[in-house]
Amino acid sequence: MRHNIITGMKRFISCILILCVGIAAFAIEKRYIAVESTSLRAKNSASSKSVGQVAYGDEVSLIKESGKWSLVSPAADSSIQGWISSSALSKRKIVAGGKKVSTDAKEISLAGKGFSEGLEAEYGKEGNADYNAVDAIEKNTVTEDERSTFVKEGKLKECE
Amino acid sequence: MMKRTYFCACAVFALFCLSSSVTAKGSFLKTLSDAASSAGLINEDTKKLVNAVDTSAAAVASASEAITPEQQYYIGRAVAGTVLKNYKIYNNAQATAYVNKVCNTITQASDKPLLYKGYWVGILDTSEVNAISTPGGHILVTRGLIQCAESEDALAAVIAHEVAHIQLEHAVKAIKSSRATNAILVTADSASSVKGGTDVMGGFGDCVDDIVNQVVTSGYSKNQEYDADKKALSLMNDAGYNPAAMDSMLKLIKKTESSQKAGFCKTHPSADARLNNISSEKKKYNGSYAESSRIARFNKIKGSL
Repeated sequence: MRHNIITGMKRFISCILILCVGIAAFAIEKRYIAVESTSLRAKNSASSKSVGQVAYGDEVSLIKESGKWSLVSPAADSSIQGWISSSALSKRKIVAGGKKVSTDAKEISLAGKGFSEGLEAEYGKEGNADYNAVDAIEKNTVTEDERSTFVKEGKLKECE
Repeated sequence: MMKRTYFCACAVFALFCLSSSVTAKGSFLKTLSDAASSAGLINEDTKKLVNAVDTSAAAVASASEAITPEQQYYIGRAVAGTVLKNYKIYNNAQATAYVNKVCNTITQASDKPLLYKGYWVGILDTSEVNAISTPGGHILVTRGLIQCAESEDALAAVIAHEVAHIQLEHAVKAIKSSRATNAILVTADSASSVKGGTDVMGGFGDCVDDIVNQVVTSGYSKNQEYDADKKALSLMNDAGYNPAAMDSMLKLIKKTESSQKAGFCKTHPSADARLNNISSEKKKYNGSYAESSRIARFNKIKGSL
């Protein structure tokens, strides 16, 4: 009888422990930055002031989601919280070049051997592509102020 | 014995939960086998067998799922660079700034305002009526296309169509050659079973060739084009452009079909088929779009070409 009670209690405590570990494991969702670099915003708007910068592969904790936006905190500085477009986040771990490579089957790694500037330089040497023209096109950037003025003048929709 | 097995099973589950938090969407089989091995439930040979099965499964995963944002950017640069070997950029700063503002208005209002590095539009100096895009966010429209457009909203319809191809990742799905897919998997490190010695440079070149062939020569599948048209209507509406302008643009393209040797008519379904495809979809959008507010600035740009 006493043995059965002890066994039962052990099972109960085990279940509670497992539940706690499970909840702790899934409570904090991690995300990885999938764009080269971008700002974290004070509010969920592209025109809101920047509260910090994140770069490709940076790990962040997902705090909450609101429409197209996610509130995150960088693992490197948890004192910062800021909003970012949810489309700039990846659930898959991203290891940017120069960092340690994991052999995890789902981990994304570019550690110096991927499709990068080095490979592009070699590809360009063979005369396959006009990279000067591509660089010229990539200079065609639009600032937030320019976009906002263009939208107002053309009576278009101001984005979220 | 039962008690030991029970606690081992508990340990396996607990370790799995812990490892899930670390690896996010990590490999279930590998995690489970590692945990089971740690708990002494399976021996090393069984663990190796389980991991081998898992790795093989990863190896056959499609390259389009494994491809990274950075890989898409560099492939996109090479695709754009290949096209730009045959076409000169049209040097008109005013018109270039204008088409980029139209594009930026569309992308910023979309669900995917950020790509790896951004979206850009370049104007090709040719009278052909055409537009193409790369997985890296480069959109190339021809001077002939802008001259052919009747309004800013019609031009926005073409740019929205190309943004839709980018956001739906159609170009990546064009990558077919085994050397290309191997190179993607190896450089994404997502399939350790793909052995060394893979020709990364050759694979990169094949990726570019596959996409250039699809975008410039053969065109996307009809279904991909129809999907891009439907998404374009939604993108236009979200940005404040009138989706009905897609109709007028397709009708204009139809007029040019017989006279064009290259361009839309060679790489897209017929304008009639595309008009038919969006006929029911466009009924969803019946708001007020203030098109008259954009007439003057569009005409000014068109006059500068």
